Amino acid sequence: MTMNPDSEMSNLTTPQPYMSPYLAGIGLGLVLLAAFVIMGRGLGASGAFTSFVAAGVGTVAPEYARSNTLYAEYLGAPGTNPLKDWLVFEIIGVVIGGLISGALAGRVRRDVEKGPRISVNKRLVFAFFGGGIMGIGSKLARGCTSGQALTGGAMLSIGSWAFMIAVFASAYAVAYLFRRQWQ
Amino acid sequence: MIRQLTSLSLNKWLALAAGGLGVLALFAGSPFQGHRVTIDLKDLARTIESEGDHVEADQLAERIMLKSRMRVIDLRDSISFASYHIPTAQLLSMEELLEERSPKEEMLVLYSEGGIHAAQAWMLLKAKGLANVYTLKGGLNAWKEDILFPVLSETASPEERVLFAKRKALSEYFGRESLPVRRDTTAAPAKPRPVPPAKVVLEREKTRDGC
Amino acid sequence: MNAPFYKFGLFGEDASLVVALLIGIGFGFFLERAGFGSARKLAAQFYFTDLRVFKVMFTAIVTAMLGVFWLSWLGLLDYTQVAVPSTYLIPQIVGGLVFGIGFVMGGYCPGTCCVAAATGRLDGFVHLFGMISGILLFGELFSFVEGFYHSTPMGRATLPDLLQLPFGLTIFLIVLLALAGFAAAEWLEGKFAPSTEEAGS
Repeated sequence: MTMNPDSEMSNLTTPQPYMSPYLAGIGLGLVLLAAFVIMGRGLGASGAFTSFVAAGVGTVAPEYARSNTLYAEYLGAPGTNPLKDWLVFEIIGVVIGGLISGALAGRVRRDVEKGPRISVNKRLVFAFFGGGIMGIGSKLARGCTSGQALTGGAMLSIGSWAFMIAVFASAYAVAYLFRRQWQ
Repeated sequence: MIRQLTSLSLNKWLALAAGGLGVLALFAGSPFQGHRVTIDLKDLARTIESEGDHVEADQLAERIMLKSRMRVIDLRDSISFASYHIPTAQLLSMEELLEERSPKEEMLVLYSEGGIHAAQAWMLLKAKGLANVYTLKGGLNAWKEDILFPVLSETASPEERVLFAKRKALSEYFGRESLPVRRDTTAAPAKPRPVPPAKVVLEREKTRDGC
Repeated sequence: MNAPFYKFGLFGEDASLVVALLIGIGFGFFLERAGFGSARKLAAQFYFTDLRVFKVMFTAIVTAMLGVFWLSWLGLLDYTQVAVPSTYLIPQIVGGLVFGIGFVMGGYCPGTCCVAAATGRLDGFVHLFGMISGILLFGELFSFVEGFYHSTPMGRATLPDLLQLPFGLTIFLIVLLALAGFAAAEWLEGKFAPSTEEAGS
């Protein structure tokens, strides 16, 4: 794949092209399978951030956090550290793994991903609110593309497949509204 | 043939491999119906505690009269079954019961003489993952006492009298079929009020295995 | 071999966190390799110019699904011990619809924005921050949606149960669907991809 020509080349090496999507998919599938075989559970991402949020609220207002059933679930038993959680460690790994792969391919650089017709600030506003909406959606659905679509999809969970179809359907439905951001 | 295969692109190779494993899966049968099962113990404990594991004799009788969709299963021996069984009941041994491949949501009511056998079978079926299994509380003994031969004590409260009138009607209905001793009754058969099926909505233990 | 190892007590909770880190590294590595550290690559899915998201996701699902099936068939993995996300049908569909809007708007999903942030993408970082804010908002308003959140519970419900099909047949159908989808994706890319973009990769 060609890189966008107007992206700055702060690195001396040219970024390598991305991996074949099928090979990358097999790689992801094998990581997921490893999680199934070793841990008996799948991958996740949004759960880790819920742990961060619950831990944050728990530090500021411990009693209130305990009374909220959503936070309480992520806080775990009293006396335990909510950040000593499988998904939290996994997400730290994701950051490290992403950095390793990006560094090896010469793709680590300060940049904002956007189309040519939108300003950086506008793009960041979109990213913030898009992230917010996604956060709400992922909690409502009890998971995200990792925890539901990939994990539940491979385990043939009905809800996960319904979630996945809903994500694609709504993303395609509203894509036209956001085309200026990307094209 | 070989030359054709080697000239395939990587993607086609991968597609072929996936397709092959998929086709083989068709013939592999299900690896997931073994005898090793996991039981959600808390879930079961909650069901038992909330009395969601059994039906009363009256409820069962009314459901049979209304011809509700369910299967009544008699777990006693065949001689006892031949001498008397609850109408519509089917005789099955424990082992036969386990081998049955009934739909997960079908309502099953199990009974034995006193109820212990039925309770044990209930456990096994729950472990198999069936959702809608119940035992008859008190077993066939309770059925005989409450439905076939209801007795009204001298000091009965008004509620007990209402219940007795209802049971009389049930007794009349079921007595016609196979009651060993014919009983006379003057009570008009009361129209049984439809009992909503005891539906137990089970929420699983909150596990945070996902996101 | 008794798999899943953790469920059979081959190692404890502390060791499981090391496993989490290693699996996370693998996960992040392949997400970045797939191009998911770039919002443009991800968003291209929804304009038909690059259908990587679909290809990678379905290849991963098919790979892991076949792996679980065949390892169970060989008796190496106890399928019943592997967690299946519980189904709460309506909240999950509504959540998916909301999620999709956030996906196109923000350009990332919760896992990929971490990778984007790790490789220096400022928008990935902002997206991550927005997502945490969204989760906090959801948590604060949780009492209003709690009833809905717990509605339509179906427990450990899988497609073979729903369709009343044998497991093997379901697997076969999904593989077939995925392969047909890949073929369609290649065709669509040929139609929609801008001429400046090199074909294939």
